[in-house]
Amino acid sequence: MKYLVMECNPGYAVLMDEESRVVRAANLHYAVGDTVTNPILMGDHAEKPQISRTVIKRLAAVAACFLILSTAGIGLYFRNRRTTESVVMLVERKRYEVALNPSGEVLQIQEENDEGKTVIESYEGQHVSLADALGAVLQDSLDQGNISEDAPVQIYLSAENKKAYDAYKAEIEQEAAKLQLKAEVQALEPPKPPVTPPEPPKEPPKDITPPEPGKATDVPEIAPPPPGNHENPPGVNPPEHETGPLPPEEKIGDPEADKPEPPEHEPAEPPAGPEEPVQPPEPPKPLPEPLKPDAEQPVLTEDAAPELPEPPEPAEPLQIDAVLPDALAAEPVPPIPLPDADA
Amino acid sequence: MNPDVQQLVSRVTIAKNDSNAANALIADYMPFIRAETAKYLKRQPEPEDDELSIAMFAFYEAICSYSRLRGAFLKYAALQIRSRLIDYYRREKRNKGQISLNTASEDDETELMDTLADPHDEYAEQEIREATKEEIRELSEQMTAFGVSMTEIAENAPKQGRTLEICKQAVQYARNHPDILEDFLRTKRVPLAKLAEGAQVERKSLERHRKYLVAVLLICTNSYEILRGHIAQVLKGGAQT
Repeated sequence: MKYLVMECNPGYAVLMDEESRVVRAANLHYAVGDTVTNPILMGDHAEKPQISRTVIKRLAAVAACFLILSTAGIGLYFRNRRTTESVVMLVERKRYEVALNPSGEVLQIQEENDEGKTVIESYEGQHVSLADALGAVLQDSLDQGNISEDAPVQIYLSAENKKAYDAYKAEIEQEAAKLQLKAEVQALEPPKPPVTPPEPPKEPPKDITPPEPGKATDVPEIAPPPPGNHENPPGVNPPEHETGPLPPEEKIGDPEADKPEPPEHEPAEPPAGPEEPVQPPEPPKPLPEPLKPDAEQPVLTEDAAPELPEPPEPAEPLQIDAVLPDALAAEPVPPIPLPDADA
Repeated sequence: MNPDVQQLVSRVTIAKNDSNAANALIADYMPFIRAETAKYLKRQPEPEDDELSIAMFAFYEAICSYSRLRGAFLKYAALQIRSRLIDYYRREKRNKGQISLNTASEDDETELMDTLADPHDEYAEQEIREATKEEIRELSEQMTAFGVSMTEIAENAPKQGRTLEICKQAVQYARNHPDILEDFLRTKRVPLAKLAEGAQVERKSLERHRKYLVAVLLICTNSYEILRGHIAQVLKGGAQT
């Protein structure tokens, strides 16, 4: 291509090519009217190695694919590390919590004790199945002596739904069979509903003396639970430091023991709840003022009469409305002689 | 901002649209251009060195493409100069091994170019060159009457092939209709509507390159034979004048 020099300036020259294009180029000592070839045109940097657009497009496509794959991989990685389900298992006196990811693989096994939860085994990224983890728990208990091959092993299990419970139960029994253990898997029930008001005491109190002032109206309505059945107060979840209820001694080895209720536990510390634990009312104490005998008053028997301490001096006027009829409250009653304890 | 720097930036802004201001700015900063060239050559440049001309061209390119977002002008200009010199070096590297015709011959008294048989008539070529120069001078004067300059035409000329083809069709239509050229010379305005309708092209494309059309139509009107001969392929298919 030939270029005709149209104009010369200190910094550039104006050229016109054979296709009537008018361009600016470096003035390499040109003169107007000269015909030049291969000038250095403005904006022309053809000497630089350039990456073709095709290569750029291909690189962009590869980078996009890489970005998509890496994002998916990272998402899958963290997805498998996220705990979506926990299986709680009670083996004798120990409470284990098995954390599962969305794929059903075990992430870790925690043991609950007085100090809290302790991770005893971590299986992140190892693709361990629940059956293997349960087998490891049983083996751990066997090694620690908590269970033995001779006696049946009581295992209490909690799952999200019945289907999962049945599946886990089958896996536990299968793993226990491998270890030659006799496993009895039962469901670990959630906390019971609130306790209903207790029944009134069957035996009448021996002494009709009213309770100490300030306490007559404080008698709780809820009767104490039967001995050995320490349950959580209504609305209170058991604290984490509890080791959980153990099966009662009479249930071990008892083939008829098939109650869904959790077993009783050794006397443990009373759980801290919003309400005070139920306590039996204090025995009534004799009034300092004599009371009038009344046919309506109950007759005290000798057997039920406890040894009462000396009546203290009342600090406040006695409130006997809760115990005695209103007619007796205003009139002084002669003291009732107490029977002899030896009689 | 430093007052000197601010003044320089204002001069650069003016030089973008004024070739005279650009030439003056280049002349004022010749020491700077020489210094940058010397950094690359590792010696002081001579006036006949192509590298110095390229550095001056790079400085002009920096004036045309500079904006405040690019930072300091002199730093930007230095970068442009270095970039151009590197490009020139790569280009010359490809021609390595070729001997210049100005190289001294064996007897060290004459150049190689003098020993070669020259089939061309140097005097004839000199006359043609002078005639061409005269035509270009007349064309520049005539273009000044239309309010355009060579630099403006270079900036306004179409760069894409499709747009260039549209302008060619309009020019060929004008050459086939002398009345349009007469109106053009008389009114000193390009009849864009007639050209667009006659050549069946978009008027907006012609409007964007109006100044370029002035130069080409002028070449087609007067006795600019040498210039028309240069762009003969463009004018092919039109009436001979």
